[in-house]
Amino acid sequence: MEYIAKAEVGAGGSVGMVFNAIPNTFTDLYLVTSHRHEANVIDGQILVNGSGGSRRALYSQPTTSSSVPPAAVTSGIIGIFGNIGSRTADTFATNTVYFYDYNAAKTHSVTTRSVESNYDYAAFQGLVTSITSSSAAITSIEIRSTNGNLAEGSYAVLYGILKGSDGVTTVS
Amino acid sequence: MADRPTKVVIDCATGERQILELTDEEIAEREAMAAQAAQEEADRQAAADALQALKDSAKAKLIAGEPLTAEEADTLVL
Repeated sequence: MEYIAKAEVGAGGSVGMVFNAIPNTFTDLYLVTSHRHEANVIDGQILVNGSGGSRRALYSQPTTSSSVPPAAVTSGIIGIFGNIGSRTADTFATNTVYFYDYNAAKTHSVTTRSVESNYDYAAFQGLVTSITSSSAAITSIEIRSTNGNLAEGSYAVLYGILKGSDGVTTVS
Repeated sequence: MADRPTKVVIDCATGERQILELTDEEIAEREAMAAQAAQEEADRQAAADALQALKDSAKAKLIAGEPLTAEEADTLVL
């Protein structure tokens, strides 16, 4: 796994973080984020090549005994979640997002694991499967809130993953 | 007047970092997305509440020895 680039939100916040001109020299892409929304919304979204897609999500909270049923398919969104603004100050949600075979000229499956942080209780967790509407090789990825800014200190790091020497293994 | 929203843009080829203002089209698209997200949150909460209500009802009927509806029984099937 090789570091490609990092984006970080500065003072005053920004609605999104964008990686453009992503090199085509890897097999897969791996995105790690730590981000928080200033507004009281948990939903963020990812744009691939400037477009959304559709997603389906599973949600849970560790202090809730019953699981929440899968959400309906949501069109327009590739899923990612951020800490909502009402959570404990300076807590951030962590997300890992995997983009498989990103150089292929086809729609791309995207897997997101998301966990909020609130120190002492009830962090929201989500597991999301998405598919892009773009069917081109991925050259641009944007992470953004659906309402309001991402808080200062939010960041995203993009990594590239190379296939193994056997031509099959996807991690080196 | 509020500041225009911005985004952080990284050029992976050069490493250049820019702070760009959103276009009118991007702002309009975000507003539509915010409405959709709010609706989804409401739907998600409603689904969770409905499931919990079914489970509560099923539990109460089991304790009372009353027949369950098919929907209530579904919440008990493992």
